[in-house]
Amino acid sequence: MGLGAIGPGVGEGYVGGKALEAIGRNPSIANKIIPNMIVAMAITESTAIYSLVIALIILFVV
Amino acid sequence: MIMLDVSLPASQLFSIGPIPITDAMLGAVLTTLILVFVGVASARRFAIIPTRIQVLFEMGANYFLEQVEQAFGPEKARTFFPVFFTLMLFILVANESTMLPFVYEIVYNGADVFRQPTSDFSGPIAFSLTLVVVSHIMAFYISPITHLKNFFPVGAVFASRSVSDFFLACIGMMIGLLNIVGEFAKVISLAARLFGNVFAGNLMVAVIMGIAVWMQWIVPIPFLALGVFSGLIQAFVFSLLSIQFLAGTIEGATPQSQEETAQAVA
Repeated sequence: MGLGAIGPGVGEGYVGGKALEAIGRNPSIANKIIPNMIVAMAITESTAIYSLVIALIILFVV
Repeated sequence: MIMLDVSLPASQLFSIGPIPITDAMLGAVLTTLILVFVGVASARRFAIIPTRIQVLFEMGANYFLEQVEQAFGPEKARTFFPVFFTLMLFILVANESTMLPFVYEIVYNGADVFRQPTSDFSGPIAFSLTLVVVSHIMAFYISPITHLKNFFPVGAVFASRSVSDFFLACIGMMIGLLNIVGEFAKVISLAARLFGNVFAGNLMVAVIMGIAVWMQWIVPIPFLALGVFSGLIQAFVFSLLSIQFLAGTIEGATPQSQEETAQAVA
């Protein structure tokens, strides 16, 4: 679970950082960027979620 | 220390004939009832001058319709829109229904009567499996040969005139096999994302509450809020990704678009 969370940690930081960069350049499109950013983050998060699901299955089922 | 009451599989309450009825299924029925009730109650007073709740629904539907139009094009979007919007509403209501007071505390024969349908792995698997199977049936209906060509590009092998062409065609076959694996991965990845988020949210609240008795009042509130937020996001992400997958499968089966890509490559 911890190992699986490393990648999404880096990736989400990158997504958020780039989104903030874009907002900093053009603050007027912040409303368009933020939903896209959140969707991208949720997709980036998925590998961490997979490892979490596997951890849960090992914990509770196997 | 309070014992954690968490179970990954849904607990069976009773069975109708050979079909076991689980708490997650009852939760799905509850979600459907809420949706039907809210839908009927808000649709009764639809007018040109909208009420507040109508504006809310129309804003949501409009935003979502835009997303569907981006993926399918304006003509097809109206056909596909209800599927995805229903899916999103269902997942949204199911995720947020933890906020209903007392409903999830009802106990029958030592087991909870209701459970969020999305926090049982069968629920998300059912959604994503239905979507992927439906997308393949639709693509097959549009053009069977073109659709099968995406997975078994046999034609290129026979059309190859040189050794390098033949190797490229073989690589194409391997990629086709990978596409088949990818279709299964699609089902699992869509389902695991939704299930993992919802279940992890519930589990976190349960763990926080299980630490000590005094932590059951104020401390779980931020985690509950996080769960509500991620439930909203996940409902949105699930439906957006399913739009993309369905659009991709159907695009791939449309012969015209294949010719266009072939021309673009050439």
